[in-house]
Amino acid sequence: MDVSQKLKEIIASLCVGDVTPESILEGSVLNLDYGMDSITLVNLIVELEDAFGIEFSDDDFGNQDLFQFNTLNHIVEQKIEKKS
Amino acid sequence: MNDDIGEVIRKIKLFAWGRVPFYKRCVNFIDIKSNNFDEFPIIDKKILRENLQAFIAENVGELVSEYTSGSTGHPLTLYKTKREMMYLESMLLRERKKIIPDFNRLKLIKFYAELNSGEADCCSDKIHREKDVLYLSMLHMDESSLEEYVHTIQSEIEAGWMMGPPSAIYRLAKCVHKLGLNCDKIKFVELTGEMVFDYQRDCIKKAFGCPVRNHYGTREFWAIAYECEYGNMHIFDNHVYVENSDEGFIVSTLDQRTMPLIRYRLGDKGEIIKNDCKCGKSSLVLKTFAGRTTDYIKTASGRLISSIAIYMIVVDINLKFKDLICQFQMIQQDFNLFEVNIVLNSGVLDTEVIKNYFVVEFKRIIDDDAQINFAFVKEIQNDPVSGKYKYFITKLQ
Repeated sequence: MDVSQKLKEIIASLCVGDVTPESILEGSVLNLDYGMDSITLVNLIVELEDAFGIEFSDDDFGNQDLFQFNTLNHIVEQKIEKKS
Repeated sequence: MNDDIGEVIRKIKLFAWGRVPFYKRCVNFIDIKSNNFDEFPIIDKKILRENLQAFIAENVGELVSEYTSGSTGHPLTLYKTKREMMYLESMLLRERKKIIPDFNRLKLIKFYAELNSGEADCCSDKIHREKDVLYLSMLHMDESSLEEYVHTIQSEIEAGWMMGPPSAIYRLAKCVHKLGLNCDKIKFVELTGEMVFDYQRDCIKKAFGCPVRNHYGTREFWAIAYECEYGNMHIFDNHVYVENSDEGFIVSTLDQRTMPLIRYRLGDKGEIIKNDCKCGKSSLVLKTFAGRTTDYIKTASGRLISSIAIYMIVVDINLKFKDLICQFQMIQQDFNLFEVNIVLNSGVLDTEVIKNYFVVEFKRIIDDDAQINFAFVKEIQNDPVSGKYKYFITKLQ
C-alpha cells in the first residue's frame, strides 16, 4: 500500500479550498501550507485510523510535529509495520 | 479493560508521583505491581481548589485553561495542553464516526451559553453562524425563539448533528412536534451535561428520527463514558479508571499528564456494571442514579432562559476579578425578584464590585426590571430533601 498517496488523498478530502492529493508536497506543514486547524487534524487522525486499521495513542498526540506531513507519514508507516 | 491496564496504571502513578507536586507531597510510596490507585488519597473539588497549582505537572507545555461546569456552584479553573485536548476530542470523534461513518460532513448545531467570548455572545446573538457550526443561544428558549431555531435548521442546514443539554434539545424537539414538521436535517443527536430522562429521549428521537446518544463527562476529564446503540454507557477504559463508593464515582485519569487527577470524587452516584453488551464492547458500564438537571428562569415578559446564564455571569466575574466568588446560588422568588447567595474567597473585602457587576450583567442578559437581593454567606448547604446542590432554584410553579 502506498501510504504516502493515501495520506495525501485523506488530507485533501479534509482541507477546504483547492487542495488536491497532487498538490500536497512531502515536506509540507499542514497547518501552515494548507490551513489545517487542530480540529481538522483530529479528524485526519481518526480517518487514518480507519483507513489503515491503526490506533493513535495519547503519546502520539504529544508529538510536536504532528502537523508535518513527513512525521505523520512516518508514524503511520511505523504503526502499519508494527501491526503486521 | 484493555490488557495493558497494569502498565498504564503504573505509568500514570509514577508520572504523578515524580512530576506533580501535590502527589509528591501526599503519596508515600507507589505499588508498581497493583492494578489500582489505592495508595493515593481520595480528592475532591475542594482539595483541588485549595491546591490548584500543586496539581499541575512540572515542565508541561503551554497551558490552556477552562472552567468546570456549575454542578457544585464552585467554578474552578482547570488546565490542559492543546495536544491533550486534541487527544480527548479524538476519543469522542471515534465514537461519533461509529454511528455516522461520514460524520465529518455534518454541520454541528450547538446550544451555547457563552458570554462575551470572541465573536459570539449568546445574549445578543440568538443565532450565531460560523463556518462549521450553527450556535443556538440557551438564553432565548421561549416558544418564538425555538420556532426560529427550527426554521433556521430547516432552511440552512443540509445535514447536521446536534449537541447540547437534554433539557434544551427536548424543548426544541417539542417545538418540532408542535409545528408538525418532518425535521430530517438532523442525522445524529448527542446529549451531554445533564441527566437524561426517558421522556426527553423519546421526544427527541421522534422529532428528529435519528440516533440519540448520551455522553457522560466532566470538564475535569472530558469524556468518561459514551452510550452505545443498546443504551449502555461504556466507560472509556483507556482514558479513565472508575471506582464506586458510597459517596459516588471516583475517577482517575490514565492519560492526562498536564493535571493528572487521581481518585477524584465526582459526586454523581450510580452503579458500575460488568456486562456482555451486544455492541461488542467489553468495557464496564456506568449507570447513574441522579445527575445534573437544568431549571429555566422565567421572566414577566414571558422569556425563558437557561439558568446556565447565571453560572456564566459568575464565571465572567471570576475571570475579570481573579476568582472572587467561591460558591453561589440564586433563588427566583417571583418573576422579577431574585436572591443571590455568595460565598467569597478569603481576603475579598469589596463586595460592591461583585454586586454592581452582577446586577449590570443580569439586567443586560435576563431581566431589566429585576430586583436582586444579595447575601454574602459562609457556606451554601445542599438541599436537605434531595441532598443535591443546585446553583439555581426557582420558586415559580
